[in-house]
This record gives sequence, structure tokens and C-alpha cells, in this order.
Amino acid sequence: MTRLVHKVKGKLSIHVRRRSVALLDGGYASVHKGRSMDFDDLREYAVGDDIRDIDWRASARHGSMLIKRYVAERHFSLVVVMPAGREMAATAAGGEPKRDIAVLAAGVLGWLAVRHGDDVSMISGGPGRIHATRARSSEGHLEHLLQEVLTLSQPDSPPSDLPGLLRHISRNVKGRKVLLIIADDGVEPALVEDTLRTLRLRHEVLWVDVADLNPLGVGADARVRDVAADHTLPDLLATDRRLAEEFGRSEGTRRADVETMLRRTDVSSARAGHTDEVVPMIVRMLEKRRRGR
Amino acid sequence: MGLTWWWLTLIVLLAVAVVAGLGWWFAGRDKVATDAVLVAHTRRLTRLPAYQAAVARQRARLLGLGVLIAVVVLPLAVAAGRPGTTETIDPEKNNRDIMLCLDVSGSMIRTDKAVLEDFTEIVKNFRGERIGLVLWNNQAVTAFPLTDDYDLVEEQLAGYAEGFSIFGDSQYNPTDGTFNERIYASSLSGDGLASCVYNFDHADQERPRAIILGTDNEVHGEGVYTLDEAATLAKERNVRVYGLNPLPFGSNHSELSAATEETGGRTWGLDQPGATDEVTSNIDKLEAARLPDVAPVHVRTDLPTVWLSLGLLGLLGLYPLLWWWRR
Repeated sequence: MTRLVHKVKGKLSIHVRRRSVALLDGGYASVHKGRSMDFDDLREYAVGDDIRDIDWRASARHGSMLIKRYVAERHFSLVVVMPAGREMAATAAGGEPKRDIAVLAAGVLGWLAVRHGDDVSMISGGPGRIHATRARSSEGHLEHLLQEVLTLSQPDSPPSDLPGLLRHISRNVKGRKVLLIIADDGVEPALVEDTLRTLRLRHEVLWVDVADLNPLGVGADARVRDVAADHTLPDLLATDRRLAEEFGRSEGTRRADVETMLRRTDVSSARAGHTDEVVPMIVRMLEKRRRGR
Repeated sequence: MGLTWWWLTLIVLLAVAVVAGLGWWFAGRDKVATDAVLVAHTRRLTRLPAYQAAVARQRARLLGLGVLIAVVVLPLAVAAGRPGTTETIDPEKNNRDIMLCLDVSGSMIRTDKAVLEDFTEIVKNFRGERIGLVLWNNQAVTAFPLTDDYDLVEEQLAGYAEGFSIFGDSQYNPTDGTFNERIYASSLSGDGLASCVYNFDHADQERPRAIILGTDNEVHGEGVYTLDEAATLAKERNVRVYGLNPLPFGSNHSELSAATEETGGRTWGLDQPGATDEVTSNIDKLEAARLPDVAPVHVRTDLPTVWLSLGLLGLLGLYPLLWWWRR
């Protein structure tokens, strides 16, 4: 039953050496630290603590290593916002199904949360079918969540609706959470910016983009079908240079708009098109967040 | 202009239409492409004006392709139906050879122009026969051999007629080579007629052959053939001789009449009003009486050149375009 969590761990062990797992833990902890810089007290350094948390002055006075303990080290709750649906069954930029990347991204952060003893829950589904799971802190629960993502993200699944999910959360989720929003290239910044700003007032927000496959970039031989349609795209379009340029321009504009929106709302973001990119990009995202504070 | 195998044209067009219809039907069936690469959010692409333009371009290309294929298929379908013309032709007329045989001796010089003009008139009434012209005095010269090139025939006859007029500046001299000074004779009608008889080609073929002999039969000296001997030769070879005499009286005329009648023909006086019409109708009647009734033959001439060329041009346009698009 813990198949998917094992996979997540496997990926982590490939990409992150022991020292880096600690880094990742520290980064994860800092997600919350950002909201409250005042610390509770000092405690002895233990293996696995981030050396950047060491209070060098206090350590010098005390004679042994002391690290700052933040208020934020209290337990908190991770909410995975997963727009599961047939869109997640489509192909990512790297050639894998997008759901694999989504599962890995949710799995890595979920595993870190579980490791810290934090609760993990998930809100998924589309309009009228929004489903929130319970918040638990166990690998079994995480596995259950990830399996649900796979089940909901099949080619014959109903469509997803990220803006709807975000609006639902802004209305219904009480208390302070860490939101991990799994997004893809279907996001229109104009439709989600206001909701995102509202969410940002109350919660910590992490944003992971799953890069969609460019429908013009598959080569002339392969046929391309939208998950929402029965018929394939006209195949001769793949060789149309003018169209490719125009599409590249419009996508560039949209991506720039998304990044501007994330910067304006102060949301840490990452983007992955392949499962091999997921762990490094999460490490990078957490590092950046930690430094930016 | 008609199609011999019009049904083949119909079959080809029907087959093309059926194949096109089946293709349309199969392509139109909404079958889920299971082997296709699944992508999401293609609306990002399809809402672009450039996409609409590309699809419109694609449509225009396919339409152009359809038109080009039609340009290839239609002419080829027509060509498959064997386009051509149908003519009904009397075989007997086509098989006829007529040799114009003209005496250009001194006694005839004044009347030869009239005889040639009569020949021209007679020839105008014939279509399909082969015509030849032999000029002779004491030896014979072939002006032109048997031919069905009527333009040439009329040009030559007019040219020689012009050559007889005193003030004419014609490049045709009808008397060239017809008088051999070593032969002490002139107007050797026997030799002339015999030369004409020998001038028929395809001796092995059964063809109606006729000679129109223009002479006054005023023979001076002795030739190889007498007129009687020449007539016998003509008869042996199944050649009818019709005479045109500018001086239709006296012993010369009766000798000529006797000779022509021996071969089954007749002799007319040149000045007789309507003589030419009579000659043609008589020749027609006499020859027709001699021929078995042969059913008219339908001759069809295939004219596929235009259609095949159109189809080929279509192909020449089609393949570079296909290559260009599929590049």
C-alpha cells in the first residue's frame, strides 16, 4: 500500500544526499518560519538540524552548539490543492503523464510534513465535486492521498477547475495552513490572482507548475489529441512555422504573467516537466524562500 | 466529338466518387484516436488567430488539392472513354485512282488551258480519290503522281493552266521534257496513254482505276504503242479511259472514241456545254456500276491528346505541390 510513498523516498534518495535531506528539512521548516521571526528559545544542536540555524554567539558563550528554536516549529498542517482531472492524465513537457509529476511533488512535500509530524490533507476535484480529505500525519494517509490523485486523473475523468478549487478554499478552509497548489499551463493569471491574494493573507502558499507538453512540439509523425476532445489536432499544423512562433509568443506572455502574479502575491513557485526535475526544483524553491526571508 | 466507351468514363467517375465518399465517411466518423499523444489545454493554441489562419490555410490547400485531383481525374476519365470523331466514308470512292492524261503537243497548245480548267472542274467534284497528272507529247512526263492531297492537285493544275497562257509568268512549263528531239514524231497518243496506264501504282491491288485523256489524237509519226494497243493494255489492266477531245469529229475522233469505248469508257467533245459535269457524272455512274455495293464504313479517329495533356498537366502541378506541402 505504500508503493507511491516508497517511490517518493526513492526519488529523494537519488537526488538528495543525506546532508541535503537535512537541508530540505530545514527548508521545509522555514516555510513557516517566515511568518514569525521571533524565536522561543535555544536548544542543543542535534544531528539533522540545519547549521544555518545555529546561534553562533550563544554557542560561543555556552560552550556547545545551540540552535534557535522558532515559534514556528509548532506543528502545522499541509494542504495539497490538487486539481485532479483528465487534464492531469495528459502528457507533461518531459513526456510522462502530468499526474506522475503532480504525485511526486505532493509526495515530496507530504513526506517532509509527515517526517516533521505535521498533518497532511488534500482538496481535489472540479466544480460541484470538490472533496477534502481528513488531515492526518502518517505515511499510510499520504499514500492514500497520492493513490486518490492517480484515481482521479484518468483520461476519462471529469475536467478539473483550479480557480474553482481556490475559491472554495478561500471560503471554507479555516485556520492557518500551508497550501501546496499544484497548477499546470492551463492557468490564466487574471482568473486566479484575486483568489490567490485572498488566500495569501491567511496561509502560506507554495505553487508548483506541472509543465504541459507543447502540442506543436511532438513531431510531424505523432498525432495529438486534447484530453477534452475526441478528435486529433490537424497534423499538418505541426510543420507550420508561423503558428509555432505565434504560439511561443503567446505562451511566453502567459508564463511571464503567471510569474508576475506569483511575485506580486509573494508565492514561492517551482516548475517541473519531468519527475527527475521535481526534487531539485523543490529544494531550490525552499532554499530561495529561506534566503528571501 | 463523342465518347466511344462513355460507360468507362462513367465507371471511372463513379469509382472516384465512391472512393472519395468512403474516405469522407471514414474520416468523418468520430473515432477516438487511442494511439494519439494526449495533451491538455490546447485551447491555448486553438484560440490564437494564427491557429484559425493556419486552419484556413490548410482548408484552402486541401481545396486546391481537390481541384487539382479533379483536374487530373476528369480529363483522364474522358480520355478513358476514347474521345474522337466518327465519319461515314464510302470505301469505293476512297479506293479510286484517277489519272489525268494530257496531250501537250503543238496542235493542243491552244486548247490545253481549257482542258486543264476542265480537269480542275472535274477534280473539284471528286473527294477521296487519288489524282495524278501526266503530260505527254512524244514522251510522257509525270507532273505529279497519284495523290489525295487536293491542295497540291489544285495548285498544280492551276499552275500548268497558267503555263499555257502566252503572257503568263508561271514557274510551271507544261511542255518541259515532253518532246524528245531524237524521236521524229509528235503527239504520240498511244505512247501517252500507255505511259499513263503504267503510271498506276499498287498493280497488285484491285482498285477502280480511270484515265481522263485530253487529246485530239492527231498523231504524227510512229510510237511504241498504237492507240489501239494502248487501249488493249488499259483493258488488260482494268483501267477505264475517258476521252476529252477539243476537235470531236473526223477519223481521229472516231478512233479515240473506239479506243475509249473498248476500255468501257467514252469520249466527249471539249466544247460541249456541261461537258465537265457530264464527265464527272458519267465517270461516277460508270464506276459505280462497276463496283459492288459496299456498305459505308464508319471511321473513328481517336483524339485523346487534349485530354491526356490536361491530365498530365494536372499531375505536373499536383506532384510538386504535394512535395512542397509534405516537405
